[in-house]
Amino acid sequence: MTRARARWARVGAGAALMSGVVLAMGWFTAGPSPDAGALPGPVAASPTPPMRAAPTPAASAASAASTVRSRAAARTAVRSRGAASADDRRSGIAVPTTPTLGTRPATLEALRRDVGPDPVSVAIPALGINAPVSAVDVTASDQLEVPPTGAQVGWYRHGPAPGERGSAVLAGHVDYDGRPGVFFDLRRLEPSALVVVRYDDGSRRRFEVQARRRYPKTALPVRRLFTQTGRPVVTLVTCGGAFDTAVGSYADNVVVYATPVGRGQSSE
Amino acid sequence: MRLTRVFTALLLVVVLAGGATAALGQEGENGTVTVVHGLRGLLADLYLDGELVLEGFRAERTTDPMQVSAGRHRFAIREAGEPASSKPALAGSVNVEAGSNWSLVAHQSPSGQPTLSVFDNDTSSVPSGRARVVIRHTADAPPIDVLVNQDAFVQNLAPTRQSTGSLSADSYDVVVDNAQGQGVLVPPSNIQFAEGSSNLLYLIGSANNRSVGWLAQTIDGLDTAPSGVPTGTSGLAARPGFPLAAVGLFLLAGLLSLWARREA
Repeated sequence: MTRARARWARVGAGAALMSGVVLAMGWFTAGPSPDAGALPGPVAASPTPPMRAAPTPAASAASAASTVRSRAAARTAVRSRGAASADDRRSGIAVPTTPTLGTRPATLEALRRDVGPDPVSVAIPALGINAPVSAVDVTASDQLEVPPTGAQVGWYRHGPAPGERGSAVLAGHVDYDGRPGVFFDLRRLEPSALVVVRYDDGSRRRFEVQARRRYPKTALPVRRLFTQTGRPVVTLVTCGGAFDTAVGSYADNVVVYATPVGRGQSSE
Repeated sequence: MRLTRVFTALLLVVVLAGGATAALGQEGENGTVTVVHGLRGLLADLYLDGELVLEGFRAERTTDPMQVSAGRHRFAIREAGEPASSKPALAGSVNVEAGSNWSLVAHQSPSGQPTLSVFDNDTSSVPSGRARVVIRHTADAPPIDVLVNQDAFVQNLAPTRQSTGSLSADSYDVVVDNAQGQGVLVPPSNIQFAEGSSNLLYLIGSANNRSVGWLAQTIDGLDTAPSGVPTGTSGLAARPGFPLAAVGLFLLAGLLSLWARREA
């Protein structure tokens, strides 16, 4: 009697254990893994844009004064940014030097940045996304402004446009007002997928997904996301991870990095 | 005995660490100086500590930023081609500290004389989405008011003085008025202030011959990233919590096996 009961209890325990394990496994493997692919190179490691290198003025006049100059150079170590002779000077070797200091215009126009075309739409065929893009700013609380609709993608207007040097940020809602947003499936976008950006001059440019990462919002690498220097990268951002119903916000950001395909800008 | 050895080892670590920091520090022992040429009609040669560093420096241009070692440095401007031994047209000196950033501007003094003024540049980072705007009154002109998109930005700025403000990065119409209400000194200019930059605007020229105008210098790379990206409001894509049923089943399994052991 007790034997039989014990056997049944053992069988029950085993069954319960097995189903528990199956359920837990299901939870662990559910959905895509948070990260995929390798981050596109160290963004800051690429060479800085070329400086306005002024030609050496009056090189002929230099030889006469070179002895005086080289002595002075060893003492003061002046260098314009980008002047090649800086190391020689620092090491104290008396090298004849010519003035290498460049100049640049001081007009108001010089403050103007070379502004390329702005993005107007973004398509991600693998996810069936084709969405309008609007330029966005920062909010008073220093957060990126995201279009107040689930269907639009916001482009950070103070950063580069997609394809320009640095990281072009395109942010979209994962959900908005109880409905899936434009970047609902971004957490499933895999490396090598295509991202196509259209610009206000009618041109378009293709980018290839390199990596996907999920970061806790408290540890979002904002300097990397918003860098204005380094190789061009398109950075797609949305929310993910656990949802805190109390504050109506996700714990994480899902970030996808894509780099330009080919070199040219194709227009249609 | 052992204590002495530990102490020696500690001392060695401290000395080595000290040496390493000193070596690193050397990179940062330079300061930056930029010379702004606001004397129209003067083709200049620029000297630094007696050394010719730039020939044929034209008005309404700035030098590239110069990295100079910390310490006092003498700057002199001579008319192009004048011998280095001649008396300079303008001279001045700057006491450069490591990491500091200075502008030297050649301009007309309020009394109409050519002069060299020194300004200390603020290179602290600029909040995300904004641009720093510094107005420097280096013209032979009365005190000024500066209006940005018709709003007062700077009021009653005296010659040789500067005023610093901040604007949302964008394009603006900028007007300079005579602070005494005697009309416009510089008509509207459309100026673009890029995000994360410091924009140094020099008023140069003379009100006497109506030649007052702007010169500009910019310091880039002071940008700050926004602190976050809020892109979800509803939790539809949220990862579900760990299934409670699994926890229940584990507990059940535990209880059953305990019971089985008792029955056996």
